[in-house]
Amino acid sequence: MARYDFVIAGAGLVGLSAALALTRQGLKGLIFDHGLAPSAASGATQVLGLDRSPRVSAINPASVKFLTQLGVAPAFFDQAGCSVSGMTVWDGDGSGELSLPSAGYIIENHRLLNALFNALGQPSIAEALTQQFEVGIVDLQQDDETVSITLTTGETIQSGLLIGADGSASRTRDLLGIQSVAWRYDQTALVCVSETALPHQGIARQSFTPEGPLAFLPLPEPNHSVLVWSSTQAQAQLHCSEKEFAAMASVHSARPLGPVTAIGARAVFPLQQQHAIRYAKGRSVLVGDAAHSIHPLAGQGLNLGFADVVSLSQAIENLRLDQRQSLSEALRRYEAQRRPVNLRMTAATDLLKRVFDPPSPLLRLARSTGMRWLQNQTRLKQALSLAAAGHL
Amino acid sequence: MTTAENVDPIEIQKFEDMARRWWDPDSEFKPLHAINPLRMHYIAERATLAGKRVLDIGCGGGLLTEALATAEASVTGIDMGTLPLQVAKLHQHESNLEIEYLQSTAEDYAEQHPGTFDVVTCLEMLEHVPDPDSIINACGKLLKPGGDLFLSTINRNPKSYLFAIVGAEYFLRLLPRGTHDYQKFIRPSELASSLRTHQFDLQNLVGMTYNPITQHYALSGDTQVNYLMHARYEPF
Ligand SMILES: Cc1cc2nc3c(=O)[nH]c(=O)nc-3n(C[C@H](O)[C@H](O)[C@H](O)COP(=O)(O)OP(=O)(O)OC[C@H]3O[C@@H](n4cnc5c(N)ncnc54)[C@H](O)[C@@H]3O)c2cc1C
Repeated sequence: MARYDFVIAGAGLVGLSAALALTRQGLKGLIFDHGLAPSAASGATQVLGLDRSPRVSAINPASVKFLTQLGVAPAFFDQAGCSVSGMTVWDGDGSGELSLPSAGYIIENHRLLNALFNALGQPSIAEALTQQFEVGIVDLQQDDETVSITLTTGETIQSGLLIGADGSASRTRDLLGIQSVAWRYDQTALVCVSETALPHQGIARQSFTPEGPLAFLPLPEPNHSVLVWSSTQAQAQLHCSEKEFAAMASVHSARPLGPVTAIGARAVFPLQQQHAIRYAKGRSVLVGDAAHSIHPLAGQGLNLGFADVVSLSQAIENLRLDQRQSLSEALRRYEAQRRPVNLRMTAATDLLKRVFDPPSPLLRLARSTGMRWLQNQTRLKQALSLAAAGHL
Repeated sequence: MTTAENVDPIEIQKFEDMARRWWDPDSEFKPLHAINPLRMHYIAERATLAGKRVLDIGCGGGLLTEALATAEASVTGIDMGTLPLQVAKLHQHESNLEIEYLQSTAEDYAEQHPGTFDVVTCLEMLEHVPDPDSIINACGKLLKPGGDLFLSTINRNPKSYLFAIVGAEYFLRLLPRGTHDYQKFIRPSELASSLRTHQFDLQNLVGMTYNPITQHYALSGDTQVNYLMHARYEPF
């Protein structure tokens, strides 16, 4: 029976980064995913312009640093992504505007995925890590020394550590019997690539529209952005004509970016916030969206997942320093470090969403006054941009 | 330097304080218990022990010394710490093994017993003495021509500093503070050159690394922190 130091369920961005971090510590492991192998999945790597994939993430400086340490070339970020110099948030009716300095990149998820797979291809790492695709988890059992994991192939494998990185619908979390608290929103995220009349100048923009927050995330092409509309009207917006949709979006884009002149294919994602009541159990642990998923409005979900992996891998590294501590103690230490921070970010995002959500006139007034007030609060603005940069 | 000076009295005192907990595998000596089977296996694979004369320099509480005796070697253990030697002798009563324990420096003992031993071991000790080269010289004197020498110590680089000093000693007081002194850490190249000077042939160099998940040590190519060396005394 195969035995590994660690097994990771889920080869998403967070799971792959965990695999890299741990193999770089000299550990041997297995990562599996129920999806297709990357070569089969990423046929669309070089697509540019409006037809590119609209799944993008805002990567803050802390995440850039972490990914660079994992072996992603520093030049990758400028080549593959759009460097972001600022963030502007405004009220749909133009009554309040807030600008924050910002740093980091907007990068397409599949490019980031490719970069991580490339880093995993280095001989010393490829040797230490087994990858399996179209494989899911069926069952798990754990005692003081070992986690036994049964896969959909019927095979049972043994590991010293199991990491659940299988996203917000985590099967690992269910098998561990870890409860999670979920909030559903009445909004759905509609995403597509858009072209605007004016260039984005490397600024990420977000408008609070009556349907819900609408973000324009800059892409490498000066007039292309990914449009993310967390909207109560997503179904209608999905099924109307491109022209009609462009007209709806142009109402909000007009002032900074000019009208939306063209769009790519539209896709929708359900929105919810969710938080596991614990991250660690015995020799098993949750990271990324398996532990917490948050509203995309703050663009922080992936950043939190990477920060989880930084903390987890440090907790394991510390076991070399303190050899009397057990692995489960280290995992609890990771949980104690990350859960409060992730909860705070979740709560802040939820609050932001609620404040900007209901179109009641009184709240609108408070909101625009509030934004003007905030615009003048240098220290608060600094705190906000620090939080966005991952220094929360 | 005269032989009597190659002992740091403060170092001896530090070891006496911890000697009582030596044989407790859950004490701060846990790492020593964890690496003992590994280094013993390394030695037994590379040298014949049964019926041979073996000297364990810096034997401490006798962890390795007893393992050597169990492998049917005729073993002498020397150390300068009074308390660790008492611990070793006390434990010897329990285990009923035939071992000679003596309080002596390697240099003095070499003057009295030149060319006596088939195997000399000096593990986790060189990083505690002011002049490791003088110990290597003594090891040469003690060995018969063709005899085997086993050494282990801590490399000197930022990583070993972190693990050995910050980690083991300060991080959660695994070993009492000040057990190790960074300047005394020795690079494998420095040790190899000292061995050559004293007519040894380097046979093998291997790293010892800790797996934090299985919580076991293993031999590996990574000599960045702890390493073991095997050399043969070839005076002609
Ligand atoms: C519309 C939208 C916009 C977003 N924008 C941003 C942003 O700008 N910035 C940001 O930081 N974050 C953003 N996020 C959040 C971000 O996408 C997620 O936080 C991040 O992708 C989570 O990564 P993960 O690896 O934890 O999970 P996932 O990416 O969900 O990966 C999970 C992996 O596990 C696999 N899997 C699932 N179940 C199983 C199973 N049973 N067995 C085996 N494998 C399994 C899946 O195939 C998948 O590969 C956004 C999210 C949405 C929905």
